[in-house]
Amino acid sequence: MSDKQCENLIDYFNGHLSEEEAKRFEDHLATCDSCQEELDEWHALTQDLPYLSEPVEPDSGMKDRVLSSIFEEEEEEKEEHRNVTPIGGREAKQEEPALFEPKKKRNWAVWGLAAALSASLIGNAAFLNQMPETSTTPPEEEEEVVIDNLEQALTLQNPEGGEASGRASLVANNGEAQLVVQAERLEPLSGEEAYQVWLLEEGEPVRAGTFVPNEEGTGAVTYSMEELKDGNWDTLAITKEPGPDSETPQGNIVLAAEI
Amino acid sequence: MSIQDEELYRRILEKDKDALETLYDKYEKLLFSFSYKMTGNHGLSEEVVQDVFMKLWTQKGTYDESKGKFSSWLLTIARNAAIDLMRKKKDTPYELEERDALQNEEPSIEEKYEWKEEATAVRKAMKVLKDEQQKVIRLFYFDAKSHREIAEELELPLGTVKGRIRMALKHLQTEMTEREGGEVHHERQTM
Repeated sequence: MSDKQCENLIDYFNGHLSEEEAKRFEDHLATCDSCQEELDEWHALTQDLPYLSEPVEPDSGMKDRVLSSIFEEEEEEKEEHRNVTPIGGREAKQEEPALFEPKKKRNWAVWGLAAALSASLIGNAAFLNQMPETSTTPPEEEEEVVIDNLEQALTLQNPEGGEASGRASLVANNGEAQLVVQAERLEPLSGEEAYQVWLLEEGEPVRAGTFVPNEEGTGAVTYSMEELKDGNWDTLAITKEPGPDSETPQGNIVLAAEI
Repeated sequence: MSIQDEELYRRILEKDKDALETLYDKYEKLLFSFSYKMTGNHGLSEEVVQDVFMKLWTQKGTYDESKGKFSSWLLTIARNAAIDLMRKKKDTPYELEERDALQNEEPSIEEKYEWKEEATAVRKAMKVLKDEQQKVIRLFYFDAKSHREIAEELELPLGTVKGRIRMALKHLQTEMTEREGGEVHHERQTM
């Protein structure tokens, strides 16, 4: 038994064990000198390796996004009453109206959507839980404008795999909020098919734009948020629909992000 | 330098936002670049950086000096966060953004390395290693592959993989030590 556990050391170090397996391995580790030694040695011998990394420039604004979301997350935990919950941890402009009502609690509405769409998606929906923790409340005293009109930005990915990728941004133009969705490497459509953007609140989808991509599979749509700004949106999803008029999602999710 | 890090860490524990920002500025580029080397994706790398500082701020991980250098501890957190994110998104098509091309182009160390000193020693040592040993290190450390995957990629029996990893890492360490003219990196540590 013990010997067999020793064989798990690499997978433990590299995070390939399930929670339960890791726990079992740690129990083993506590009593196995040779594993403990080897693990210590790995830590010691690898500590210079990160410096092999070639310098890569982060995307602009990363510092603001990271720090504000960290500090805001904390405010959210502290505060009982929240006023603004922007998508994507982007700081809200003080002078602009709140676009989104606060969420009581993070809820994974995508589970609801997945169930509504196709049971096969449920297993994959778990990945959405790993989208960045971005539900945030800007502390009043810290508000500052990061980028002129860009309120929030989301990266869209396919929960099931596939090449498609996309981006959703909420921009404010003269006080009018617009949702801008761009996607690429989408599968080609046939007949009446269209890609439909949905905003979801606790699994309830609302239409938020329809588009048909070009030959390269690139598509974009803007949608006015004036009607939708009071929603408590927790998920954005794009589905492939049999026609452009679906009132509820009929097709599979091709791209999604947690808000 | 490490005293400074530890001082910043202590202030972060007291919820000093300026201290977190200072530490962020100091390590942003290194953490991002390291995360990028592991994930090959800008978006994921940003998530890694965010995870690392979130953990620091919310004290999900605690550092103590017996764990070795603060920077090593921070990089270990980053590596684990990168592994977590890569695993959780394994089935999603995050883009590799031509990481291999970047790896091959050998940017000049002089130009833009903030960690030039550390990089020089380890890069020189790495070059001395045979391709196979370099590959072991990449698969094991940067790609964080599973035991089985490493065995398959190297066409080795499962039972010999650990030995190969140990040999490659020790060889690298020896080369580094020699290249530094006897200045041994002695901050051996345990996590």
